[in-house]
Amino acid sequence: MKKTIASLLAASLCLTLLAAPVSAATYDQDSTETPSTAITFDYKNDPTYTVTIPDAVTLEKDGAEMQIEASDVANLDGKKISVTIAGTQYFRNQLVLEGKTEEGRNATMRYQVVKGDGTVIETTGQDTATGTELASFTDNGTATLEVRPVLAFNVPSGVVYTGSMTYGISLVDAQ
Amino acid sequence: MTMKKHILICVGIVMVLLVGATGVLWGMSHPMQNTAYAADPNAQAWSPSAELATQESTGIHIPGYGEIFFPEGEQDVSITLYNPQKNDCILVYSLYLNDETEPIYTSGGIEPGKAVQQISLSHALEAGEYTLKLHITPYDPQTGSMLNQADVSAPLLVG
Repeated sequence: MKKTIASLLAASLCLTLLAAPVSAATYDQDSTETPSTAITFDYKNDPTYTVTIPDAVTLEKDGAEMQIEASDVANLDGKKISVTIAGTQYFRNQLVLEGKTEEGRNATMRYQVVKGDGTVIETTGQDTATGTELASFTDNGTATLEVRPVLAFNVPSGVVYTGSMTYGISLVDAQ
Repeated sequence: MTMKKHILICVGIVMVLLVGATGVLWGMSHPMQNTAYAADPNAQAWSPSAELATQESTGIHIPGYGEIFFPEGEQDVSITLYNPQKNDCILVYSLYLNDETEPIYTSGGIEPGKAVQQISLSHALEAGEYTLKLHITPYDPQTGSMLNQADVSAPLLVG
């Protein structure tokens, strides 16, 4: 019995020793092929920063604040995050809100966006605000703007005015 | 009434009950889908590798991208289309090349905390430099209404 076990152990050891040279990589020195190792790289294309935008255009009679925030900002390589007006829900992307009167008539109201430095962004019918920069960031931060209604004499009161905006977000050269 | 009529009435009642039960069961197994978007079946839970800064503000958190790389001649590509966990809305991504008006890819609805990472473009791309526009449409999950949207632009290298 002991002999049998010993024989088996010896055979196992021999097989292990035989496997080592079989599994080792080999290279034929006489081969004309250039030795190479395949390298694969799977680029994940993950997000590199986050911009927080208002979820709706909301207005109050005396104006309302809206905030745009940049976070997770890193490695901009000399660029800045630029947030612009890319469009609105209204014809020709004007800064106009829409609603209905109690009688069911369509009503519209213009609004202005005022930046922190006092710059007023608005459209008056023939122009466009598309492409206008609202905020820029080179690091994490928050920009606060004000949204003001333009209360002309012909703007019906008692109407709930709503609208939406598309924000353009991109990395541009920092100046 | 004759016995035959009794039987016919009973069979009729049973048939009505069966049809009604079938309808109820079918309705329970097919909940009404929001017609604005359908949930993207490829969206999986995902979290970014870096810690997010603490944010107390409301609003819609929009992911931004640096340079994007796609392999030449491949329709199936990797890109993380993510809806941050802190969002209270569903995000739908549409990808456009340069100023084209037809998207090369549109996702289904992606819930907060989930991402789609493998997408199939409408066609393979030739090598070159492009601008990739990711049009992000958020939807209120309660009403299905569209919220403020975002156009995120990033340079796209195909090679």
